[in-house]
Amino acid sequence: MKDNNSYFSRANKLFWFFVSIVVVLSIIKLNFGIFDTKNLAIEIVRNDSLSKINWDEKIIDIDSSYIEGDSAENKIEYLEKSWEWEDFNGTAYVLNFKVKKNDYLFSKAQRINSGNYGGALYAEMYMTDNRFLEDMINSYKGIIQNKGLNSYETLEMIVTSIQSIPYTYVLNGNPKCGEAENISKRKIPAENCTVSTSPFGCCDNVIPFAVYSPVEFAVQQTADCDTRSLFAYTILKRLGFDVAIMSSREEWHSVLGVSVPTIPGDGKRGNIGNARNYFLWELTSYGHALGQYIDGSDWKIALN
Amino acid sequence: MSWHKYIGIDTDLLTKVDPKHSERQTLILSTLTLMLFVISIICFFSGIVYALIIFQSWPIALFIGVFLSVMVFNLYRLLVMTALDVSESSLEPYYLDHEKHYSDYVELEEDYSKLTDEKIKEIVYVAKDKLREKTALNPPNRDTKRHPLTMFLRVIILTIIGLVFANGLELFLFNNQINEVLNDLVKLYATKNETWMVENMLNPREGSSFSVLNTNSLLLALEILNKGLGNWKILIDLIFILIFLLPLIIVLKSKEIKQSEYVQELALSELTITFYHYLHTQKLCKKIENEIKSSEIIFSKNNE
Repeated sequence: MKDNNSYFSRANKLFWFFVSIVVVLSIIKLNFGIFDTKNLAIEIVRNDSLSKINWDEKIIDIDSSYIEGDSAENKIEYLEKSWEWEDFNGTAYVLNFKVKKNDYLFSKAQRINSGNYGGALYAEMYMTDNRFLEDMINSYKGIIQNKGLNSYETLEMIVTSIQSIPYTYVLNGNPKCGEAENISKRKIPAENCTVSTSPFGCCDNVIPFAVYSPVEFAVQQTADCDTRSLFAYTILKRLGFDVAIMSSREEWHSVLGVSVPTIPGDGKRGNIGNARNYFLWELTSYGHALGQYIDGSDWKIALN
Repeated sequence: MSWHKYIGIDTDLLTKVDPKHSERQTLILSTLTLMLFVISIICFFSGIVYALIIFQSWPIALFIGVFLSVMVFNLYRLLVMTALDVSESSLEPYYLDHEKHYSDYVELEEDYSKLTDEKIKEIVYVAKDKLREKTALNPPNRDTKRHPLTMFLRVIILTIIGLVFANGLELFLFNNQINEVLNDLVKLYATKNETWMVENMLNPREGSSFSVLNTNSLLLALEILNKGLGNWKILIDLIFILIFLLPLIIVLKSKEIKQSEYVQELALSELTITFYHYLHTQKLCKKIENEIKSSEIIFSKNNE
């Protein structure tokens, strides 16, 4: 009987103990510092602004089959690629994807034959290439889901995948590979359009605007500032982020712009009009954080 | 203390039980009822908080609070009462097979038409007293296995209810901190020109003001609560779940209840009632049968 008594009594005491805790907390409103309000509003607005990924998005494919490159039997050929990199926290990623060879050739031909420049050219390439990169975008989505990344971590994962690729000069003939740069007068490496760290590679005659299309970058991995910005824009825009390609004539440079409410510290933003809503993100080398200082006082939106 | 009446416990059944035991039983069952009242009060306040955020109207909130608390009280009452079975009692074999009990006191095939109502009552009450004495000597049945699905459903239902109402009360407990974050959100969204958020989620209707929290978005409030409390929320939720589950655990686990005199007397009472009705029905059956046999039946063709 003693055991029986003690079971009910103990459970009864436990119940009223818990109820007392709730009542005391309700009346005197003590929270013992367990509710952390610091930066909570900023985090909520940031995630709200960034997180718009459409997991089940269906896209309409573009017919590129008439481009030369198919084998005689009309068999679809794929270019299979694998990117490997680490984010700022040292987390390693592997991104496997494939691109139809015809899509790659279509994208290249469209770039060469385009009569557009600047933002109009970027827009034209984004419109077609975001569909050609479907497999790559799905691979990025796979990483986001598998690693359970939040919006900010997603941004960082994608940007570091681009920053990790060595810089390559991309020129359209003025100046040429092997000559001096227009502004800094630094000597450009001789033509060697391959992924190279020392010395940098250099791809010449990339007409009309010395920028590769996103598909070309995904396949070749050769890119300078605006090719990287366009590629990052293409991927992030498709994932639903509010991003922009930012350009500065003063610096002859392009970077990625990301619209977030605020970031820790005093972030560098665009300078003109709506460009002020975008924090700048350098993509040409690994390690640059969002909003980290970049020279130039005329940063404006080239495409958003 | 006679709270037990509110969950449908009739302690008049305990008149033949040792007064000491009867008193203890009354105390336990009243305490159990009081626990259910406390749970209902939690549901009442929690329902008010939810309804105030969604409808921003005190009359509606009070109605919803009362409705939800009554619903939960009755649901819990049902769970408690259905758990008060004879599965751990030596009465179980008789309870599951009533005829086993009847056959100990009467011949099942006998003619009962001559029995008066008083005689039937005498038989069933004597049978009840004898069964009480007989089962009191037998040890309780300890090998009982409860149906796992029923147990699982009971626990799951109460856990879900506990979690839902825990969130409501947590919103009230931490409303000052949540409001602080909401005020920061208003400022941040205003600087980002997110007028939709400010106008639709963070501004009260014209001529009115917010009640508990400065928002009419329950999801936003819950997001702030989750992010603000972090892992502490799990602990607080666990406290609420325990508050909701403890009465059920007591009913199912405490031998003072499962093997109690009340449960025994309840089963005996039910057996007695069914035994009485069995004899009464048999008596009437026999009577009707005799009447049919004694009457002359004439077959005729009416249409001729």
